[in-house]
Amino acid sequence: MTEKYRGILIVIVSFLLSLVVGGFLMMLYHVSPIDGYREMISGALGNKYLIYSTLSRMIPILLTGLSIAISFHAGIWNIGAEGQLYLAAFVVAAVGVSFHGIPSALYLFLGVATGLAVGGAWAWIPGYLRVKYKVNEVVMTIMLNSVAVYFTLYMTNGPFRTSQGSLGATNVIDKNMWFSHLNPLSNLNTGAYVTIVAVAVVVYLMLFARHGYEWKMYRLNPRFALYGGVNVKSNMLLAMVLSGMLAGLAGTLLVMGDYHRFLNGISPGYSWTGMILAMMVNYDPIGVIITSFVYAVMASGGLRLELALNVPQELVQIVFVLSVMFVTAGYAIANRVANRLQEEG
Amino acid sequence: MSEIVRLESVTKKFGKVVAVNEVNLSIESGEIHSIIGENGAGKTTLMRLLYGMYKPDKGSIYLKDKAVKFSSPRDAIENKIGMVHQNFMLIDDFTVYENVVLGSEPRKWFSFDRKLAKERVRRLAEEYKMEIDIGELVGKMPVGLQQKVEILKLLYRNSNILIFDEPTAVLTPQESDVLFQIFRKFKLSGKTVVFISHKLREVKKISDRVSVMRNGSLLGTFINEELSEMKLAEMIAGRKISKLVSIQAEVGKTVLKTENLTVLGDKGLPEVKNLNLEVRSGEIVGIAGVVGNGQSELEEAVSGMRKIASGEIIFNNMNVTHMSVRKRRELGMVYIPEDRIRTGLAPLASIRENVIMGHQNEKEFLGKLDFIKRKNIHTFARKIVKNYAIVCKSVEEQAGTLSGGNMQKVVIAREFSQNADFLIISQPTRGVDVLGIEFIHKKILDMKKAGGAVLLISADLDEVLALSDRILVMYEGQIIYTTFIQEAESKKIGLAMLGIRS
Repeated sequence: MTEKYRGILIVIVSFLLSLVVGGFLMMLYHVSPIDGYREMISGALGNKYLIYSTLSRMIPILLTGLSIAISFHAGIWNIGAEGQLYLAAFVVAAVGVSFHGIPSALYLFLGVATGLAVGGAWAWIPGYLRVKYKVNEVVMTIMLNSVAVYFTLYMTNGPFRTSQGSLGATNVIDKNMWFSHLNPLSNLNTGAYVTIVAVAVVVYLMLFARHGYEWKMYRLNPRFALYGGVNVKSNMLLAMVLSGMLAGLAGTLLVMGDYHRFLNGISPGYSWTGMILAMMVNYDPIGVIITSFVYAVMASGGLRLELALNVPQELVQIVFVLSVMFVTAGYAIANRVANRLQEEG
Repeated sequence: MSEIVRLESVTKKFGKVVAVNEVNLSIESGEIHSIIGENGAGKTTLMRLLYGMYKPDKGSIYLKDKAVKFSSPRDAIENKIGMVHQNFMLIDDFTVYENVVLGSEPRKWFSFDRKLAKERVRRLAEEYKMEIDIGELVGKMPVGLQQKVEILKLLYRNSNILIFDEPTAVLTPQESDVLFQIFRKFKLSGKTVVFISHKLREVKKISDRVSVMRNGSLLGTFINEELSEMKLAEMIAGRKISKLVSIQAEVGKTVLKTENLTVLGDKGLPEVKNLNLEVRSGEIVGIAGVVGNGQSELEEAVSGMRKIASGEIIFNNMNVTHMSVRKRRELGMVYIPEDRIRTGLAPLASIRENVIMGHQNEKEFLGKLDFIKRKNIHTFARKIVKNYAIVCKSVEEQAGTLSGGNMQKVVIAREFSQNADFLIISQPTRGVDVLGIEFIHKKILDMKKAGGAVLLISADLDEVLALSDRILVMYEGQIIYTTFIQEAESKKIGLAMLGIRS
């Protein structure tokens, strides 16, 4: 319990510290930090439309963050979320441009199912090799990232090259596959409901079900899990496949909800951001929900910061990276202090 | 002989706990001085005070009548005091000689003089007749050899007073004997050895003088020859130790049977070969044998952790040869493994998470849709902590922060709290103090009395003789000698353990 509170405290303090540093940076642009942060928050949450667009920014980070959280929590290291996202997004788009005349409700279901299946399958490959032949999953997933990204690059420049102008993308998918926007002024769409369901399932599995416990025990001591009767192999494979499905879902929703086509740069590294967030909160799914929301607020607010106050929006990245550094340092310091206390009593 | 170390009314508190209380201790030059006491009696703390790892709250330390104040182990090392800790402080990816010289490497100009380092370490190893390949990577060595690396580190730094904190806890009896020979060589060359232990027999075997600690206080220092083992045990425990009384129980049906069991080890070679054994209800079957004759593979195969190459395991008339650990546990098998900390615990998880392992699929703790019943688990964990007197702040505390004895209790409590009719227990008293041994032995006998079947694997022949109804001797993966306890002769068993059939 104390361990957990300590972690939460470190994350909060680190975040506040990085905000202070961010404040100083604002002052270099002759902007008062209070004004700056107020502008940032109102730029992200000031009205209904802004909140919508912040939420839509949050979704891919949330999903990839959970994807990483579930696999790392289980002690199997899926570094391949980016590839799973790309491949799922592409296949969904390929389906969307190829088939027409399917009723919308069915097509939406089909699209999501395809994305989940592709993401899950792409993660299943290294997972299976790991469980069956002890092939290092870190190396495998990193390599499969490149395979997926370059495969989609080839497809968008070859067989699936768009006939509608700009290069490096597929054609627009069938309209029946579009998640409809909740509001014409923002990107938030009905795909958000799918996200809510996925998040609920992940939170349940990780925090309330036996899986979460067995995953964690495996990560902390694989031999102990085996000894205690945990079915280690199926547990690992399940975590890996779920992780891939979440990353795949992130890609699917980007295609069906946001862009309505597949583009080469569809993810500006969402899974890497998600990975950092997941690690910052020690793979806690609730933590991922909160931090991905905060991250989305800062990212949307950063735009306003630049438009209204002429502070470059990269400031947001600086604050983000600083808080990651503070958290890392915070854990190191806390461990040292704890050891000292334990020794001296 | 002259006094080399003297502690005067030394006191050390950790918060409210007085770990070392007004201790006066005198250590003479060139002796082997044992410090004995239960887990948590303050032995280690006392020696860490001498080694400069802790500063005393009160009292003073004298080296050859000169008062010293150490602010860190560095000061102690400069004064030729060295300590081998329970957990080795070695770098796995370095070779033996690199580990030994680390921190005071010989130099040539600006670079590390490997040739000289190797030469010096080799000479040291030869001087004390340690058989060790100084070019080997430390991480790949068995613990017995790693310990020698630690000792070489001290010798390399010219330590004159050598403190060993429970060095035999990780060793087999044979390795311990080798260590004791090294101790004797130290003595011959005029070095002083301080040996912390809770194993009576070893202390009796090696020491010149023995200091007994209980609850942080020193009860006194005694000359070894003038003390009986029983007297020593009572002093450590602070009360009479009841002699173990074996109980006869009704021996019934066969619970566990192996048929031509063959198991491969980590290297892919058969470590258990065509082994047949049978354990019946109300019976304790003891497997004696020198460590490394296939016992670990046997226990892992029976518990389901290791695959079986050929043969069968029958449990209560059911073929469990290829069943998962979980199924075997559900059928009523419990297992207290040889390495309690590495196999039986997740030190970074909480006590609650540790005691629920193996129970997690029970109805009481698992609802529909695999929902875990947090409240019941919490109650269960608290009950266990209370019943087994596990000393901790709360069940949410990390298991790894508990003392060694309490970590053992977590494992034992968990396994005994399951309704089982078969127990495999391996090296039950390794790393356990006198009171703990008494407790564990009583639990094993209780299980037998209740009609359970027990497979006891132990390298300690006396323990096997004290508990078992039948004794099997395992040698190179096979049972080469069988006897009932009534007809057992320890000499014959001892010979069988060395592979000599009579």
